[in-house]
Amino acid sequence: MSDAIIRVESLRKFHGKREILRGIDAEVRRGETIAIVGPSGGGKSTFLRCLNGLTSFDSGTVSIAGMRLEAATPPDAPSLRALRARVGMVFQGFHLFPHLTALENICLAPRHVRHESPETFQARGRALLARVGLAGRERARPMSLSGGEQQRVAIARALAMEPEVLLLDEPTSALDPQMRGEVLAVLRDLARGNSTMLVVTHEMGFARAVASRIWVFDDGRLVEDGPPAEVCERPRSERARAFFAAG
Amino acid sequence: MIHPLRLQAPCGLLGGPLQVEEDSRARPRIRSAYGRLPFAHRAFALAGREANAQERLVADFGIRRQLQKALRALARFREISSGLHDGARQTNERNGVVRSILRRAAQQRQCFRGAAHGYIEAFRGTPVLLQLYLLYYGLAPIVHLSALSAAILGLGLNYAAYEAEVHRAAIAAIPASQTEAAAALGMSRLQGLRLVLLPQALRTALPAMTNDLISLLKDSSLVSVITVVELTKQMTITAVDVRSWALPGITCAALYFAMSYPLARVAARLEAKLFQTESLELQGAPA
Repeated sequence: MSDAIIRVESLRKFHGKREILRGIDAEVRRGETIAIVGPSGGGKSTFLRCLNGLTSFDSGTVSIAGMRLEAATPPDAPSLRALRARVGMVFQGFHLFPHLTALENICLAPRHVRHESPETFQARGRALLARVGLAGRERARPMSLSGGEQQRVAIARALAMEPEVLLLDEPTSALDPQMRGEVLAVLRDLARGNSTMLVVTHEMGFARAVASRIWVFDDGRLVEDGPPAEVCERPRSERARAFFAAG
Repeated sequence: MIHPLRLQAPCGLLGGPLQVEEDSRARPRIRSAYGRLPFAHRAFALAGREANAQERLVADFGIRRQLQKALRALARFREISSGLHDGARQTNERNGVVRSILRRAAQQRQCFRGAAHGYIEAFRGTPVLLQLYLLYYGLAPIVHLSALSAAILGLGLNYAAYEAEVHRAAIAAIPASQTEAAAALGMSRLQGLRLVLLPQALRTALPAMTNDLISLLKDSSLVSVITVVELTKQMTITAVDVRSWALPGITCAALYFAMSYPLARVAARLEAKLFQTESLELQGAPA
């Protein structure tokens, strides 16, 4: 077991007859930042969603943050909740709650899921907002924030639960280059800390600079898994070579 | 017998039983519907995407207390059965006993859904006047309702059916991603519904709700057909009494207006308040 915080074994997933994930085996150690790259439709997002139970799978097992998901015995609602409280998720489209302010967005889950005291969650909420560079915007509504700001609030919202693992599904794909920079800076900062992160991304520069390992997904398979230099310079698989050549 | 009527008139006009019912209670009740929504998690289960039985019943909670207890129990029951149903779909087809239990639960849920659907369509699809007749005169041999109870029940059931659709649509209008975001934070369906979906749905539902409430206020005049002496009925009595329709008629109209207009204003203000923060923020937002 050592310090593996995520272990995935022969994970398979079908959409009807189409096989989305064709048997994924992977392991993530505590504190690692994994950049998941690869062509669209390769199963990257689906894989990420399997990790926190947002998507069910058809065979295999996922062990994550001390919990175990199995295809044969779907988890009940309470254990899924417990899992998600430990595994944060950031979406491509931010999905902030529009009726709440930035700070309320961040504090909602600590307050209602972890039942923290107002002082605790308020203080941490403010600290997190400052950490993502949005101190002073506590009372702003999502509508009044730029895309980059919204995504940073969304990251803070996920972090507010103090997750053991943070999953980010194309966090910068809906943003223009400048906003992308803001968000990537926050992620870089997180990666330097002790956070365990899995980032589905198309930002190869970011992946090379920040990730401990790069995974290349193609057609439902994990075709490369190694340190950035190795994967980018000397990809072993034909598919990965083609992908990097194109990118 | 002129005097008693005369004496009664002002009190009937201003404080007749039904006016009290409609005017002072309707709004707070409706709003409290949202407070009671914890029992409506099925909406959450389907991400509010589908016309579903639970939400339809949800709206009723706010409208008639008499129905609340029964519906609450029903909703609980449905939560359990829907949970089982979700499980049923995913469970391997091995365990025969479990499977039959789950299948039964799923069937039950279908039943509830069907019942809610039937209720809504029946009450929306038939004249409220007819419903009042049936409740008061039609049910008389079995259950003897007082005229006022029948009036409240009839209007309540009728409008609840409309409200149910308003709320269902409002919840359905919220993107499924909101549900997902709530779930990803570890919230239960119930919490997601209460903290994320309903506050947003309320904004969408508010204008239609206001419409229905004003309409309900005016439709209260229909209950005179089952012997309830309400505002309009009292007006006709007075009109016959004083042998003039103009003044009582205008007074009566003014009274309806005096009740519905503030209602509209309050709703408009509430609506403005719900959206206000954003527009203010927008003005102050950096370019």
